Amino acid sequence: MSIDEKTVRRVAKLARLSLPEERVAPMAGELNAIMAWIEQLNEVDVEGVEPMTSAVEGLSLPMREDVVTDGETPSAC
Amino acid sequence: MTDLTSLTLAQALDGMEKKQFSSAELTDAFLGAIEKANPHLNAYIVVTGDKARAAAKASDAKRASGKAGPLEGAPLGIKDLFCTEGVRTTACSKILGDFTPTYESTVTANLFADGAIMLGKLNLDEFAMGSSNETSAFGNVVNPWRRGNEDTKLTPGGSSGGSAASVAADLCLGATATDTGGSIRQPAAFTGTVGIKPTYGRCSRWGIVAFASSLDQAGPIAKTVEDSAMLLQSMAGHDPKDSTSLPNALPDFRAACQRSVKGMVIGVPEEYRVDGMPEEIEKLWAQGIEWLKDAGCTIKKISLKHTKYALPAYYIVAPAEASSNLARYDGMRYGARVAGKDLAGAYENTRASGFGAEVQRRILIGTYVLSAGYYDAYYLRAQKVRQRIAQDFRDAFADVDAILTPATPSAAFALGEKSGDPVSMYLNDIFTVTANLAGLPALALPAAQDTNGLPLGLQVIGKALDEESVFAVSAALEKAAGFKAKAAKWWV
Repeated sequence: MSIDEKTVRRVAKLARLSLPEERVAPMAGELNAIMAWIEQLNEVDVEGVEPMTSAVEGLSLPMREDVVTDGETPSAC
Repeated sequence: MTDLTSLTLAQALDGMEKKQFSSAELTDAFLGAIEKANPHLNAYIVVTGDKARAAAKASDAKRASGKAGPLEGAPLGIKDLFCTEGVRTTACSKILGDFTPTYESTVTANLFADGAIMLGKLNLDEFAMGSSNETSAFGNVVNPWRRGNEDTKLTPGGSSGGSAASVAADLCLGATATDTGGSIRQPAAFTGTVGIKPTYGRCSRWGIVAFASSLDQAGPIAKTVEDSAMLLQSMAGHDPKDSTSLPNALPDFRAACQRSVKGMVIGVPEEYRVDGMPEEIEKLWAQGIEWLKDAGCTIKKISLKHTKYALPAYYIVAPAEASSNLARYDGMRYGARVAGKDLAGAYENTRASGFGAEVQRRILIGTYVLSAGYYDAYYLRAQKVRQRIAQDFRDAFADVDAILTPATPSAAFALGEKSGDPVSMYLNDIFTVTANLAGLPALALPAAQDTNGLPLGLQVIGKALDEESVFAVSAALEKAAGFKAKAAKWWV
């Protein structure tokens, strides 16, 4: 999948980054060089593999006591 | 009296305890050394001399009254990614401007509670994105090491280049650093210092400017393995303010440095032999294996077969998380605001002028791989490859206690040598990035010098939460290597 200039403009818009017109073509080139190198991930068999979303195993998100606190005051967390 | 700045952390604490010198004298010695060296090395971007002197005086009084903490009076450098109350924190990005936090990061608060003193804030790659310190908005750091008698300026590595250079040049007793893909260990290897990235979750991320939250971990850069253990002891610990902070009790890391390695099984992964790796690094690795055999370890060949996919997977996961984390920099709360024709225009102009080239590139990649239609093909696939890499380690650690690899595929390179080619820059982290993806503890230590006299490092990777084995093996390697070389102080 190659990134064309139209895609660069669209992604820059999504990222809220103004990209001067003269930077669009060079940026497409830079991004394509990086994405071409990343394409090798397609060689890996990932059939049936659970995506890894956290480096912490077996720990669920801690819940605090359901009591009134000072909210945003860090020392009261 | 010997030069106080050349002491290790352990020696300096011992000297203060024996009343051979005070923290005030030690702090003055470091501030003097920084004044001479910093115009050449650019390691510190802020020096907090007055604060440091006042803290040292208070620290001496505390010690005199018998209330010394474990790091009482020890002057440290703080990477400018850690929020420090009342002291400008920029992540070396223009977009944070003169942001001055009203709170202290948990890691630095832990260090100060144990008596440590801050000398100043250390330079880094912008938002910790880089492997050479060249993306900093404050200019690059210069490595105190040189190739023989040449005066070519070398990179100290990145992103914790200021941390590594300041420790190597005796501009602090130790420094805080962070590691998302190798940002503690690669600079440590390039500067002849010791750096450990602990298990993900050991150190609280609260108050550390976020880059890629599922990978970021804090850790120390120090002069010896024992010093790094002492610093990590203070930095680590459970923090309710970080939901991924681990509730597990901290073992005695310093004691682990004394543990015998006799009978330990050390894994050597075939896949860490890469094309174009200098022969000297191959030799050092073989030497490391011999040292551990002599110390009574058994060596076992292992396979971490998805190693080559770690960097490409990282360059999806990390930019994706970064593009989300950095969305908060909109010019409304931090730094210089650039006007636009409407609100979106102001965001776009502010972000275009506030972020440097590499950060912009990563935000665009991250936004692209998360965008509709590409999420499954890139981001989801990368998370699955990450699982494969973590599984390789889980399988290997069924048979081995720790893993030995080179720390980097080369010695420090010249500034400017790789800055034009992002992918060749990214390849610097080929041996370090796997531990971030799997969340494992890993330490880099200096073990030899190349023909130009530059330091080369070995890396020890451990099981999750088993920093103790990492420290034990690293201390054994340190003892066998007897690496005593220091960078010549050409700036004096």
